Amino acid sequence: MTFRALALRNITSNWHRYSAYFLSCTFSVTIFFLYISYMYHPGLVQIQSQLGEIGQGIIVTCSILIFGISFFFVLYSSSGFISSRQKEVGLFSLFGMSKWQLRLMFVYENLLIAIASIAVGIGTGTILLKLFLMSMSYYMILESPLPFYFPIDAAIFTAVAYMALFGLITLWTLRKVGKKELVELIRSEKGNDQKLRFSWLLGISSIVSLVYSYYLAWHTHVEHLGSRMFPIFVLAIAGTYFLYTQFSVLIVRVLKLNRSWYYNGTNLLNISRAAHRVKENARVLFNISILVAVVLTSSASVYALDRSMHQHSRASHSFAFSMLKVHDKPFLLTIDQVKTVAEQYQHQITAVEELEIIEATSNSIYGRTGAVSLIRQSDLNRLLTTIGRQTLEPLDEDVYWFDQRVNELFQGGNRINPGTIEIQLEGLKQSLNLTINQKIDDTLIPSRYASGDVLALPDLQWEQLYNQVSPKLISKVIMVDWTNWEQSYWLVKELERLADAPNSYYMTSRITDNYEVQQTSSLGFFIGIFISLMFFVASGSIIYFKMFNDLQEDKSYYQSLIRIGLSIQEIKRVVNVQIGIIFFLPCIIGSLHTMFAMKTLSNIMNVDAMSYGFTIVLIFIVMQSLYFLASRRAYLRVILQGIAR
Amino acid sequence: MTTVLKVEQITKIYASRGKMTYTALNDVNMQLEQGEFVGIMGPSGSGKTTLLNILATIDKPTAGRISINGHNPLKMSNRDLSKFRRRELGYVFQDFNLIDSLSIKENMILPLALDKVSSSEIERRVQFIAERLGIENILDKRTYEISGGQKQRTAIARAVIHEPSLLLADELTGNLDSRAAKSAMDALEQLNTELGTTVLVVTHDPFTASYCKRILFIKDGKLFTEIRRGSSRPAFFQQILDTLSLLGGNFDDIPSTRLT
Ligand SMILES: Nc1ncnc2c1ncn2[C@@H]1O[C@H](COP(=O)(O)OP(=O)(O)O)[C@@H](O)[C@H]1O
Ligand SMILES: [Mg+2]
Repeated sequence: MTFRALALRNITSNWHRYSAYFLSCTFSVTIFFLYISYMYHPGLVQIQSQLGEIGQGIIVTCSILIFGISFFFVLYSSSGFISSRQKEVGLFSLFGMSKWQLRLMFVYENLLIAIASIAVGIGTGTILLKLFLMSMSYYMILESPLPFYFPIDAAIFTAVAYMALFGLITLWTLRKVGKKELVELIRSEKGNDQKLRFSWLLGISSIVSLVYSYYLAWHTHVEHLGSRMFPIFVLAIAGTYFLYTQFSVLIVRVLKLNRSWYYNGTNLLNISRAAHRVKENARVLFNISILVAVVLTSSASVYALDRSMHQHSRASHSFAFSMLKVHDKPFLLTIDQVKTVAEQYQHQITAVEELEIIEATSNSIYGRTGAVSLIRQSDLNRLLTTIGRQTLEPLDEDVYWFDQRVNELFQGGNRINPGTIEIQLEGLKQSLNLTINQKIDDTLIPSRYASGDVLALPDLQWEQLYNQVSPKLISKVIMVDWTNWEQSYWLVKELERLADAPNSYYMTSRITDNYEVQQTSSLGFFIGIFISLMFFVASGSIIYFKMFNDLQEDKSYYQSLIRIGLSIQEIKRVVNVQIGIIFFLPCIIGSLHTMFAMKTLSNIMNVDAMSYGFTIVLIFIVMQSLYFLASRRAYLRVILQGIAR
Repeated sequence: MTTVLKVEQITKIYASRGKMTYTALNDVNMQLEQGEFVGIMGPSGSGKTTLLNILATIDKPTAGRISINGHNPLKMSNRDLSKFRRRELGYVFQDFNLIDSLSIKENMILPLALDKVSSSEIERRVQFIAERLGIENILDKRTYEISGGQKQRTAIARAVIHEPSLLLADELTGNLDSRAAKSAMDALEQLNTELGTTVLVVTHDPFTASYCKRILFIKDGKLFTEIRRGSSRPAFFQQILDTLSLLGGNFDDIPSTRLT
């Protein structure tokens, strides 16, 4: 048999081991290629140049991060892979294979895997790219949809980068292969069963510091963010570490005290073995927990920001499109013009509302002078009917107060919630005291055209003021709603062109008002999800390798259990617990960290980050469960191989 | 005297990948009474492990009948079978198969824990068995802290703690030096005489076999002959050597426990 044939044979006959390694490499190539070809897509390069320095910086950082992650990921996969084959290497050399032949075999193997995974990775990436560009164009409302292209440059770049990466890893492998003594390689890797030591102090303090860091995170507001950030991180990280190395043993020690429970059925096996597993793999579990926490927190944050941007633009405009008229400046377009263009663009006008506003000032809300807008209660009710809300009882004397600031992302300053508001009007000597009947948190008029606080006065009172004040204080807003506002970007652009007033203050729409912010946050969201996906695959594969590393040892363990008299069902249950711990323990700890980080984010910003965080965590747990089920299947298949059932 | 094990016309045929078949056991009959100490010897490849695996109910014969303490394991469902294994059978392996994450005591009580025996009863049995096997001082140690002989005695303790009707052992001295082998066999003999445990050991080692009261020789899957021990062990030892040379075949390998 030639050498090349041996290397090839080695791969084909040990497929299940190679396949994990091959798949992780392919995954890594796919993601990297996808990222590169989409970041350097000609259409996107243009957008990026508009992003400004911070945006550019983010993209560069992410590129480096993604390559760094792929690098370490492939490195880790290969080291796990190599160590799972130590014994085989030992046997080969025992049977007289020279060191150089052995190395040559590894070179062939790695070359084969490298070429295959690069080819398959780029192939898969190209298919995904098409899907990706389509969804991306839709999501980001690009000026023109991103055309599909085969990114030759990106393909070459990916191939070269990964060839270099595999080359480095092969060299590193070769160094390792040559180094160890034969006996060390052949001797089974057992014997590291150190006694489970722990300290009560560290074990208990791990829980205390975790709980305390959670407590701090829960109660952190903008004011103490700076001073608390560091202690929270340190406490959480240290707590997590000692949770695995100390607390796990402690809890097992405590559980063992309850003899009748501990000596009951498979508990004996599960508990003692779990303690060993956790302690032995403490560092890996710790790393994965932190990885999971970082990934989930960042993806939940970008998701929360992106969604709240969306919500903000929805809430800050109760109508799709609005125009403003002040005393010396008429509307930019007539309502008929708007209608005609809208129909051209296949949007049906569903509502048109006009409304007059008196601008006043007041000290009562902020303790310093701020603007308030006065409208008529009959106008208010008409508006409420149009947008489908409950109308309000017309009042004889009192007023309704609409707090329009609730939808803003950052809520500025401390507010007073007075029962009466004193307002001043330019041209009117006396100030006016208005009694609040009800305060409503909602946005009715685009915040550009009305101040944050809108007061709805009884019609009679409002009309009196209207006749008294200077006409400069009076403005008129026209608000239009049409179907399919999410797709109306081009319609608004056309209206702006028609009025010859691009980016005009006097014309605004829900879709254009937040366009740039939204695009940036969408980009952030996409990149964030990308990186998270990579981390997910990385952490999953680390677990997978860990699991299959111990496979042979585990196999004899389970087979002796069967002879002792465990049924297949009981074996499956024991396997569930053992694998489940490795898969879900770090996942749960990381998710907990994330939820508390999201609580802090909710405190700092006007975003319901907790529920977005929960969504992300849920998705993660579902994906992790799928990973778990697949691994468990593969694992059980090997474990139960050749067992008469 | 009650019959613990009755094997009638057991045949085991392995079908290998081609159309080739291999008859590992051919029409084997045997019977064990309560309290017997029986050995099975034969050259490697003669079907000893195959036979023991069938008796341990982890493999099934192609044809034949088995009755263990009045039960027919061949008619049992999977679930009943594992319950049956852990109530009626004890198994000692060549490579001990102790569980590293458990202490010596926890290893011993595993069959009882699986059967949900109360913890006070468990403590009582541990004390009883550990004293007899001389391992009461190492109960709290871990598997890597004790010698091979101690490991095998722990494995024996685990195999008898639930008072099985039949104790099976496959090459239990195969991994032990002669001193440790002696200590393990002494322990087994003591259990057999004091508790009346029925023992069936498979071995290729004449010294180990010399502890038995009766030895069945097996060759090419068939029972070849049977010898019984008189009063003296040295004489029996010589008798075993003579029978083996009559039997021929290869005894130099170190057979390992296999499941299949
Ligand atoms: N799973 C199997 N498939 C095919 N042949 C087998 C299988 N297991 C054992 N054999 C064959 O059956 C014969 C008896 O094996 P075994 O019972 O292990 O012998 P012993 O334990 O006496 O050395 C051997 O020739 C062996 O090759
Ligand atoms: Mg054998």
